[in-house]
Amino acid sequence: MFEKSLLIIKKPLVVLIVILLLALVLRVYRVNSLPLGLNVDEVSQGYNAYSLLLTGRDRYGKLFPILFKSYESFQPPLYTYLTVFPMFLFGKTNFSVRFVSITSQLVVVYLTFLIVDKVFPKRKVLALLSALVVSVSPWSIFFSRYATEASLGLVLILGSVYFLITTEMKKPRIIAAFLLLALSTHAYYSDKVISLLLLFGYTVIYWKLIRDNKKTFIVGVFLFAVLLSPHLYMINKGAFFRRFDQVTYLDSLSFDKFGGKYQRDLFGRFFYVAHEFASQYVTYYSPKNLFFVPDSQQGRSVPNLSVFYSWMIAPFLAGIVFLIKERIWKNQKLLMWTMFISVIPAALSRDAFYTIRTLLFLWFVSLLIGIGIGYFCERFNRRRTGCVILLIITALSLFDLHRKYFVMFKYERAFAFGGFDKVIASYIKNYGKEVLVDLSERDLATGLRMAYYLDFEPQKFQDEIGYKYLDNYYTGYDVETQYDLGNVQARPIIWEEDVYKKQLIVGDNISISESQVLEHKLELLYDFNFFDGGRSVRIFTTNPSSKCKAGPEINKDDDRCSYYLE
Amino acid sequence: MKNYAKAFSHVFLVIVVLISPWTYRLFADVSILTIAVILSLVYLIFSLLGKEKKNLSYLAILVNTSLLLLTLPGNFDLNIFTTSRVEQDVLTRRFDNYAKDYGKLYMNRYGILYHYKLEPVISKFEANLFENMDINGYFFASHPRERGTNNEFEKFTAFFLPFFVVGFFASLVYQKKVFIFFVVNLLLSTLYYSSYVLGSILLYAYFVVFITYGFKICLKKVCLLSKNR
Repeated sequence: MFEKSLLIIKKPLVVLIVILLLALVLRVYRVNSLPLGLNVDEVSQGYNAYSLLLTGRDRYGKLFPILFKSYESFQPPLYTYLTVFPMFLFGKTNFSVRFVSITSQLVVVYLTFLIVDKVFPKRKVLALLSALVVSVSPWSIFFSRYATEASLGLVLILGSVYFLITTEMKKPRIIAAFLLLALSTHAYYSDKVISLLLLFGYTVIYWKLIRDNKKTFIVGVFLFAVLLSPHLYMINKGAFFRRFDQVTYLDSLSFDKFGGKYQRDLFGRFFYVAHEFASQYVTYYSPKNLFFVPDSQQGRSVPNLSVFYSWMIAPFLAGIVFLIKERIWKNQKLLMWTMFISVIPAALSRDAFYTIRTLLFLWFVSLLIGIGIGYFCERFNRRRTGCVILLIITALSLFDLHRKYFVMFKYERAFAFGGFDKVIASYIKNYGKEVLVDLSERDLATGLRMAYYLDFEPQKFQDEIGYKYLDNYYTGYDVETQYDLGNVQARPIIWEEDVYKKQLIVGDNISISESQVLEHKLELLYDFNFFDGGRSVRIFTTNPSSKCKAGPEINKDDDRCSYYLE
Repeated sequence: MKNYAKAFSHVFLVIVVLISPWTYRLFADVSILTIAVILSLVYLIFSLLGKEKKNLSYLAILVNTSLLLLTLPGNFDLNIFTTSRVEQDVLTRRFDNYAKDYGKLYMNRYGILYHYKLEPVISKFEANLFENMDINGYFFASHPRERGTNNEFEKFTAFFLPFFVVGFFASLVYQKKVFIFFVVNLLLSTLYYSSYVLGSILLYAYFVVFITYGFKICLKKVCLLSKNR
């Protein structure tokens, strides 16, 4: 198999460069404005990086946090620290915030080539096809253009896997592998579980090799443990398990709430957890989720497009056939083990098909698709026709991606990515007078986005807003509900007070209803509509004078109206 | 040993049929004739494994076609070719967005035809196809991505899932004929209403056979391992 001339590529390096260029274009094209704004996690990372750059502390004034407090949860630190560099080089832009993600996913494309090339050294075409599939896959493009620690975690884990499968106990490689593995635990939550399981798998699979090179292995494990020591410091603080507690179904509370038919059984909780884990695990392998239905979270998916194009199911199955026929698991046990464990962290959480937690698994699926395409090519046995078909399918897929991501997503997901806030900030930036932006529970990041886009000084932010949360930084889960940013305030509207002051009020059509507009005599100044299912954000100016005159219950003695009625 | 494995797999086939909730839903909801056709299809497909008998294949096709004719007329998904008012609204809004960005590239009669007529139909076929391919729909009553309908039920116990996976991929590699039959039925299932109370009835026989085939392979492996010891 794969030994016919059809699959021999004369200049693999040139093809790889073309694939990397394609990957680069797909990842940076209009990335500053698409997604238009920064979503809740991105803006937290972005403002923290900005704050670190200017003050050396995060937005709460914490010096070198081990985990960054972010609303009611915590973010692993590596992404934010790395973002300081692009922030310094390119300024405070969306591109800077997404730079680490973009770079990580580009390196992933290159690592794909290296890993597959290592597994099939005589079949360069498979390495190239796999790299091509990763470069054009919706999941990789989407998570490149979205600042996420998961992309950074993925590249670190893959780097480690590459060194582990090529190590043969060479000291520098094993040390690099263990260092990357340890670093990944500071990049993304899922990688804490994956790195430990990967280390365990490596030890079991390569036990004979380890036995003969004990010294090198011990040095590697020691370095791994040293880099993991910050976690030990954090382990008894609430922050360490906070995210896990938020998403898991292993606790008794989940069982009481969702246990259903298992609640009456003797070993009910055990069966509930087993059933939940199995169903969650399997759902990541379900063709429906991989090839058709997108992630249900609006902020983590493209409308009408799943993590892969639907046609990819055919090469995916072909790739599995190839694995079975070639008995890959026999000489690539570590890769097989990594694929098996890659879904475990996601399967331990109650969110269904939460793509961001399984980027490593999606990478494996891309690999199978790439190999499957190679398998088809081999069976087809017509080099030129095969290339033309592949080019046509790739072009059609990219057109489909363009329609769904660059057009449909732009309009329909503007809200999920805080696009409105960016536009509003640019509108009110030079306004100078009082502005109130409604901060609702539906989007906790509005206030921080305002601080970010209005260039609110981090030092001021720390002194006026952040300091309140500094004392119990790792143990408190309070959320900022009020942002006082000079003339701009971001907080929930207090109707009994705010309409009696002359100011601008900004809110969406849920926070400010039509009846409230009429009742409080608000005057519409601007209506931002992104064709997002009728959703819009509007800027009103209050009219206290009319409000006071109109309200039957208000009279001159009322403090709120006395000024306007005199 | 070989005969034991064969006998065991026959017994297992009967067990799978008897203990799967899907069977009882079928018994409750369809006619005796349909049940008879389904069960004979199960046996025929099972007999097809590893055999190159043309007559058996023709018989399986005949029985399969009868099942299609018996069940499709009442359960054809009429939504495929119709567009509801809500869908129409979404289509119009999206068309406006596309038109804004693509201009004449989209706003021509082919673009309009594709957007309003072709794409919704393709999309609905795809939706039905992938709904029928959802493993969770068969083994976990669609949990954790339930569809919000009252018809979700666990068609097989989750303990059969490993056997199904083994049987499915073994068929994909070694039982091409059965697998092609399965794919054809999978495609035909796209014509059925995807929330059809009985699930994709055409696939029942194939699921039962894949589970049994997977069991047979696992049993053989276990026997081989114990023999080597």
